[in-house]
Amino acid sequence: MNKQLWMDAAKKAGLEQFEIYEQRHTSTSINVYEQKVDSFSISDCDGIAMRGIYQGKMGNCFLEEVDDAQIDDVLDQIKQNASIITAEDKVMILAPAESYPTIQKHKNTLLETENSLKIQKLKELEETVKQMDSRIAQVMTTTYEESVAVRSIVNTKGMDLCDSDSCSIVYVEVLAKDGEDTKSAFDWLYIKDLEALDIPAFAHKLCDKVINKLHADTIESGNYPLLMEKSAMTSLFSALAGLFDGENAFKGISILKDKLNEAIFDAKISVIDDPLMEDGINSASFDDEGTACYTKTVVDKGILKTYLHNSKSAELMQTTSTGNGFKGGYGGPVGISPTNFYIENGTASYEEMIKTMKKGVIVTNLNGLHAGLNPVSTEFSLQSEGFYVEDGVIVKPINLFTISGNFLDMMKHIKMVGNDCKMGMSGVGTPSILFETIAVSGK
Amino acid sequence: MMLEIKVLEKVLETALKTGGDFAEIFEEKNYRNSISMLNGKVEDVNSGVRRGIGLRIYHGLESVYAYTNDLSEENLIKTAKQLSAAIDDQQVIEHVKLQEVTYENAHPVTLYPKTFPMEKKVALLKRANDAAMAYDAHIQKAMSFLMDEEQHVAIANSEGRYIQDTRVHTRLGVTVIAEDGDLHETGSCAPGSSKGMEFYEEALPEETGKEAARAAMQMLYADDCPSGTMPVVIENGFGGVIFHEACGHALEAAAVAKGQSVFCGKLGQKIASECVTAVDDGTIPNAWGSENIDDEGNFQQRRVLIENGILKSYMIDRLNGRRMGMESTSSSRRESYKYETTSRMSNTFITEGNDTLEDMIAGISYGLYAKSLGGGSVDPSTGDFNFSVREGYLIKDGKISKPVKGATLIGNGADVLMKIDMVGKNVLRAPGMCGASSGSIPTDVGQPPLRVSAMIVGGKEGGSANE
Repeated sequence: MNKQLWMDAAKKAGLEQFEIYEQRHTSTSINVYEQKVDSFSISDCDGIAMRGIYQGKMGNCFLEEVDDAQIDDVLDQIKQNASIITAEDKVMILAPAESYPTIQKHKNTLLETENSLKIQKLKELEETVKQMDSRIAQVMTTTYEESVAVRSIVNTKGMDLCDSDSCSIVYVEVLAKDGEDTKSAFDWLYIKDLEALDIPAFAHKLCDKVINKLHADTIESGNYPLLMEKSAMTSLFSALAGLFDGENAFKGISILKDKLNEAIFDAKISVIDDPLMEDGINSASFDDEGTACYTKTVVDKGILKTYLHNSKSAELMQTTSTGNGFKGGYGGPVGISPTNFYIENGTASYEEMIKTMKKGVIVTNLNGLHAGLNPVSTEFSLQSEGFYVEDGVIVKPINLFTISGNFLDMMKHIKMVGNDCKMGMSGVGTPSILFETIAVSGK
Repeated sequence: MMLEIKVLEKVLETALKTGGDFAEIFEEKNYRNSISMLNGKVEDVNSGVRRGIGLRIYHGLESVYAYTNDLSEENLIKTAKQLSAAIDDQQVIEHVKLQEVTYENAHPVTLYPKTFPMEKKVALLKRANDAAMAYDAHIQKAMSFLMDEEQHVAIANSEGRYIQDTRVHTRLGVTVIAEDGDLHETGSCAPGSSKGMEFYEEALPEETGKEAARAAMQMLYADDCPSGTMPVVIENGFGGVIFHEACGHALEAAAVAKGQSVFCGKLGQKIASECVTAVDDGTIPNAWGSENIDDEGNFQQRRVLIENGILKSYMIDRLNGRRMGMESTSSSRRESYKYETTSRMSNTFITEGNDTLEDMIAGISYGLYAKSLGGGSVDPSTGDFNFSVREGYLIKDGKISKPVKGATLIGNGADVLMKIDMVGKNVLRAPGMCGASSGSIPTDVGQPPLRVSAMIVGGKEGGSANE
């Protein structure tokens, strides 16, 4: 694809501005099952998204197979798509920033490591997990995945940016059985080299996690103090990241509309969006529109300080883009997403928080977040797993209960914030948090 | 144009040089369009083409997979070489001769969305939007979308099979936000089909908009749903998500083949109450989850999964069939060439029973009537599942009483299937998107109204069942 040719043709075709976004994605995935390579996959895919402004409207188009002979047809399609739009939002294709920040990251040596060594490591990991406890019925999957994404943006305003990022992850899912009782659990780790994978430690943690779930009891319905363990809290917070979307807020699709500089959470809560985090999974020096990224406090001691913006939502709210203009996939329009997004640590340890509960519930896992959570009103009712606490001590695992409430209300009634924040798989992280009360439904 | 047969043959032969005993190419060209509207204004229009291939090689029970969208012969051969390097054995298949299998299209389309004028698509959205906004002054926002796709697939395998299919999908959805003071509620409706744009002559956009608005208004002033274990009556249509989650996923060979399902080794045994017969049928003309062939090129089938409570069949793909020593049931599906295919559902539903909705409700002194359901999820290895109630009503003394909101129903599949004690008459199916390891695919769920004698209802109202 001769991009200059396309940009010249776009100008000639009457497009005011034109941009080509390209993402090349290569990946390798290895799955070991019962000491054999059960599946192995490789990929190499290119995706091109083009957008252009025609009579003040933005037209979008995406392709996976691009031939310079298609120029006229594709540009026609973009013009047609633009001319259908009736929303009056001002749209922009941006000029490059004066400067871009540098991201600190360690070298991913795994990209140069032989697959045979990775396979050997996975086999060791599988075997170690299997041998940890006689109740480990099977290791359902032991998987390694690596991917490299190369991203570039060129446009008629002189933008010409390119970056690349890689990530490698190991994850294991395990099934434990004791008598008729079956429970599953999984854990994962981002790694940069094979040595970083401490097999005994990983296996130990995963086995504890699944064995501790066995022989779970039900719980009486009622209201209980709630300790949301960090991974459950992270999945809930992650599902609600859209609350901070500036366009949703402007258009009244977020419950946080008109809440800037107001207290939205308990004063113990601060939320940071940090695209410059060292080795962060979503670290980037520019967003998908070419805006320079920077670190910002979104919620400061409970007060909403900023929404997240791309250029369009910033224009709507008469502010500047926060560099959060990211696409869902290469082919979609530029939306708004957080980067490395987390709730800042408090001071309490997980154990200390448990000790303060007289009768309470710990939730370690939530299911059905796409269904049991209303992302607009933040009302939720979710299938949960966890532990029951009495007099500051965990007395038994519990499952098949729901917790129900309203996220915004809950976040205003916090007793303690933990000091154990861990970034989750998708780049959102929270510490464990102790809430005053939650409605629990069980027997 | 799809790739030439002789190129495919060469790629398959290259893939088998290192000892693979089966190879398959899945080729896809997918024309996609989407339009979104907010309060009557068109916000985003996107269109594009997804185009690539997936190559799979089996070596006994081991499977290797590659996908790429550089379709030059040179790159395809290179990919086949790279992938086959993962296998190291004696070559068993040298030559591949492809023979095209033709058939009559069981899912005819009249108005192809690809060539249907954009203005007319916008007009359909506008009708849906206007009907939603006009329903009630409290409807503040109406977000509508219209998506369509025309997916051309060609599947070629080392057994010499070459077969093509064209799948057309279109769906129009409306989500509204109703507001009154501090009260907010959403309502949605989104019918879809594998028909062309003629679908909207029966699924009138006005009805879609109105239904979304009605559901939101019905729930806007509803009280919080109570908590506890109680009998639940689940309405037909999307209510079928209960079977999809409680049982369907655990009957997929992907879970069964490796002993990771609660229903392993249960063929011929009673796993559900006798009033339950369940079917997965990928042949229903133009249904949302239908197709002529599955993504391994085998003709779709109607599979009876459970008959009068007895487990009759799993849903099996080729690879897991090998693991289980069983034939494929043509159940292999995937979102796109970027996913390795595996066993999935198509249109899955519980069939008609003998009871009436009135009798189900009349027999309950305190319970929940779940009129409209949202999505859910399941852990197939344990059978623990959940799904959300979008529109629910309390049942008191055999009668439907006040609307209640915010409930999720949870349970364990093996347990709940035994507790279905009444099954009604009018089966209705409804479309959804089902996500699993081979991506997000269109599936129908369905059922007549049915009753579960006891389920955990998770509401916000702490009250007990004896309220």
